[in-house]
Amino acid sequence: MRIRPWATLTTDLPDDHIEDDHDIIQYGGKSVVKAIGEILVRLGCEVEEPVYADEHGWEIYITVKKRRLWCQVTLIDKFLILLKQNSWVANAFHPRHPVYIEILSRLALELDADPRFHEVSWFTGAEVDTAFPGTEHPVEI
Amino acid sequence: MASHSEARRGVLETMEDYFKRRQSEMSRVGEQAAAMAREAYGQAIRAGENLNLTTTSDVRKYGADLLAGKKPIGITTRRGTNTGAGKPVSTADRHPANFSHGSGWLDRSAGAKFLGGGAVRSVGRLPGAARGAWHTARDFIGAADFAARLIDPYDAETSPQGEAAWDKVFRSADALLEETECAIANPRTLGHSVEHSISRLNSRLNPDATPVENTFVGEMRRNFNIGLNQGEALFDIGSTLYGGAEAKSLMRLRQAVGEKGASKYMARGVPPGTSRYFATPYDGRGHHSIPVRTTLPKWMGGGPVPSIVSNSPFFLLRPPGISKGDMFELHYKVDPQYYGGKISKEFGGGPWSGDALGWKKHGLLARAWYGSPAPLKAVAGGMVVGAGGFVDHFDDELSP
Repeated sequence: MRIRPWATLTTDLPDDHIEDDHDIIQYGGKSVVKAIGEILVRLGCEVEEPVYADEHGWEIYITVKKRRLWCQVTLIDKFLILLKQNSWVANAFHPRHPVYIEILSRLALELDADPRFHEVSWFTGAEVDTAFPGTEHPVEI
Repeated sequence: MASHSEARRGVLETMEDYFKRRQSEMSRVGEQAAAMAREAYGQAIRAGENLNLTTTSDVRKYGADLLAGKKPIGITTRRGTNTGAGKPVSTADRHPANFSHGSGWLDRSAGAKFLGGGAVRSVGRLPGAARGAWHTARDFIGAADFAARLIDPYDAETSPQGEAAWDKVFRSADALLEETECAIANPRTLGHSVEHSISRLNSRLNPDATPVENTFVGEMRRNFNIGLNQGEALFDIGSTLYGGAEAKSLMRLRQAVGEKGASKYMARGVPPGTSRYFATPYDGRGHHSIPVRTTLPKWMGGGPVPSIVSNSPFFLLRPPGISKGDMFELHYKVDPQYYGGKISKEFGGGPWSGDALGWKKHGLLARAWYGSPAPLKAVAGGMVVGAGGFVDHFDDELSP
């Protein structure tokens, strides 16, 4: 089984990247991370309020069936999304935990079905930001 | 017994008379010896010397030696020099016979002082090293960062041509040469300065450069202070190898590195607008060795890692005075979750990505090294580098 926790996408959501005459005041991604949070809530997750992470963009912390997940959204040319378990123990010993796999898979389906998002592609850490075009689904059996 | 007394006096005397006579003689000699010692004491005070005679028997023995015409044994050091940072002393001052004259046998025992002093000196090195670590973290963060680059085997490879740390060192040699020329023009200043520095360093670090204390406790204190100084010096030498710095002048060199501006990025093929944006000062939150999202285990109270820890110089990588471009590149290389961003519209707008700029992510060990702030590397000596970031690095190496 291969898992691709990274995704790139474009969106019709409003551009929330903010800058003044001289510099960037706030990196974009808040509207996208909020939309993803709403999807995850529909999937049965508890989602905290988005947290600004400077040049990393925006983050949300998720809890589902006692597992802690974490999602980061960074605006580059497209939006770069990462959804992973927020525990090094879990990532080290249960990188393919069924709960995580289920949420990742269902999020991919929701993003595909959501008319606000386009060009969704999934990557491993080694594939992201390379010439690799990505895959349609995050979980490859 | 009677014949012995007869031979000495020519007349018979009883044992009782003999003891009375000896007692009287000893008393007289003792008074004379004490008087002689007091006179010598007065002379020593007037001469500015310390004559250390702490017991009655010391005083009498000293005076008796003077009466007998012998060179008396006593401590006669200059006052105020018997410390870890005092003036150098001659070999004669360190003769074992001059060590004694405290109140107890430990104070009089040169061997005990020697052995105890050596042990205490060793003990003092550890807190001395800790003191050095603290000084480094507090004062030389920028210099430490530059020192880390000096020993970075990849610095020349990853820096633009002519921008590696050692390039700056060689370039700055011109300035150092100018200073040297000034010193040569005024050699007295240079000579005095060097001589003073060496003498001061010697007295701080070399136990033989300062006189032995009169008492055992004083000697232990002197050796502990020297041990502290030695520990700090050892730390400074070691930490220079790992990113710390004794050399304050490195700070100046580091500043020189950042002065090139946009041209250094353009020389690497970065578009002009992006280069100018990269040359502006970085004012972001930096890279956290302990990721902000990290939560404490329940047995430690749960919740996020306290800001005072995660934002301390030991776990926050944000070199002072760094440009956006340098920080973005550093961040890109050490953080597996960071791939690029936006450029301000003032500089043309649009995205930038590390991959498009030809940057490469570091591997696990290099991430641990470069992703750790210089003070942490200095303190850890490289062995526990990235202690906080270990979780993150390990996490990302094992997860998909």
